[in-house]
Amino acid sequence: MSPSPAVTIPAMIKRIVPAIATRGRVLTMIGFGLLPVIVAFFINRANDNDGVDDFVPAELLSRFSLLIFIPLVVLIFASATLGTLREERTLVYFWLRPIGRWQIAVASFISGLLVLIPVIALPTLFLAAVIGDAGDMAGILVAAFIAIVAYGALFTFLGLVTQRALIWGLIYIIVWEGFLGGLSRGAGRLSIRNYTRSALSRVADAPSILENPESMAVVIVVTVLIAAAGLLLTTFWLNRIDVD
Amino acid sequence: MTAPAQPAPMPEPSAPLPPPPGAMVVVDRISKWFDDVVAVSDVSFTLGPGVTALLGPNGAGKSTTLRMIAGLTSPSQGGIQVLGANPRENAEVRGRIGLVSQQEQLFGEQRAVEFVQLAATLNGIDDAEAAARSVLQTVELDPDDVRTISTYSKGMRQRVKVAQALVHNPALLLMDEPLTGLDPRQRLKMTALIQQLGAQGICVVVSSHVLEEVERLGSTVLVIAQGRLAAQGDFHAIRALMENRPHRIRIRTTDARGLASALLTYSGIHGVEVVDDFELLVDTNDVALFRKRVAPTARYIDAQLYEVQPLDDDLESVFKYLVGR
Repeated sequence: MSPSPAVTIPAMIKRIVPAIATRGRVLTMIGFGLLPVIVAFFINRANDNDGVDDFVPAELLSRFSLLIFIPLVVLIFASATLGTLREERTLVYFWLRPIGRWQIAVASFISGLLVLIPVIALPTLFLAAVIGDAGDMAGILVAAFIAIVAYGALFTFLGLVTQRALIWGLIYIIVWEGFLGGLSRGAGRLSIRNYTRSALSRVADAPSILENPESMAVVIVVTVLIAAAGLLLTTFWLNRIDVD
Repeated sequence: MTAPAQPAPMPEPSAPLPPPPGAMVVVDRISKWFDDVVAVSDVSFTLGPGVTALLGPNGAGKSTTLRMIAGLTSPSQGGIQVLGANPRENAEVRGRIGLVSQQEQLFGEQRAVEFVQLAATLNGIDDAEAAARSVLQTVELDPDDVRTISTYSKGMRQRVKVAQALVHNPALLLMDEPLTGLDPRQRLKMTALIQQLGAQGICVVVSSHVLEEVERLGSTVLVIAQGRLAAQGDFHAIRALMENRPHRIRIRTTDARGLASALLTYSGIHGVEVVDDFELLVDTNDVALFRKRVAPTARYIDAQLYEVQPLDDDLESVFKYLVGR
């Protein structure tokens, strides 16, 4: 009799989370995330002094957090969920069980979320506190969550497919998300950052972030579709890989 | 599977292997290659309840065969059915397989009971903790041990692997070199456990490259060498097959030519090659008789023996012979 996913998925999450959330990795990423807090703090002080409005921190968030910090942190943790199991050759202890492989994909994805949300939220909340604007704070958190979900699903898959997930992920972040996605509106619609920046722009009501941002409905639908695609690809790959 | 030792059958390409009644594993002309390397070549056999040993040297294709039976990798050619289905695709069948893999890694930061409990949970056992505690006691590990697996010795880790493979009472138990790392006492215990599981009707497949281990299991044997099924049968038949093969022996003596002439008069010696005045190579398929006669013969022709050295007594040579028959 196949066990219930309500039992198996939490059991796998309980195993995966401690494996990826090593103390060193978490502290390094939180420290990295605090960098823009410091920068924002000084910019905000400068703004307070010269009376300029506070769109600069929102820009900073858009550029640093959404384009660099969050994708990078998601890449590191999400690719490690299944990547570590494969690398350590312990995937077999999930794979050779009477459960649908989608359950392994979902458990890995949720494990990534559970680690990423606090790791990203903590410095992001600090940043929002420094900015001191409720709209910015909400926008940052919504955009960060969208980024975690969308990148998380893709990088979970990437970690399963290749042992060089960090390299390929970085190339994707820099070349596609950072460069090609910004060349035209059409290409931009194929990049995740278009939707995270749209969310930030809409929720924070900061039109300087992005010209013609997508509506929140589109952002949510696209995020769900990307997550579903990532999980489907991960399940498909789990079904066809050779396991050590 | 009770056939006497004989060359591995090579079915006609057009004739699929009919699964005999009671067959739990049907391996039908499987081959597996990795790029240019052929790991397993055209292997067929069926397995029923009881213990079967896969015997062969390192790199012979045993682990690959076990992995294919477990569904961890697909054959490049041919097919495998476990309990009537493809284990890669059928979740229910996977739930009836237990695997003790050769790789060392476990979830090291967990306690043994947690690791085995996870296996029980993922196999749908209702009281996973009780099942884990029970099977750990079966393999003589303390379920209350607070240490993590990473602190365990190799032998203890091996027993943890056996425990996670047994916790859901599998119908098919695949064990890749299960006695590796165990001390002599634990080897005896593990051998007894394997025999007991086989007697209970579980299909237990044990791979080993050590002849003596297989002998102790008293099992049916599949000899795999160079990726091919070289022989199959019960252990005694395989042992006889190995001993009755031709042997090559090097002799260093004071009179190689004289000794060669004298030895050729004996039956059972079917070839002598004189290397030089002091060395000859003898081919025989009756080593016992040869050993009995070589010293008296040398004495008879007034020659001194410096060395009598079998050249192909290692297991590799035995397997090579079986493959080349």
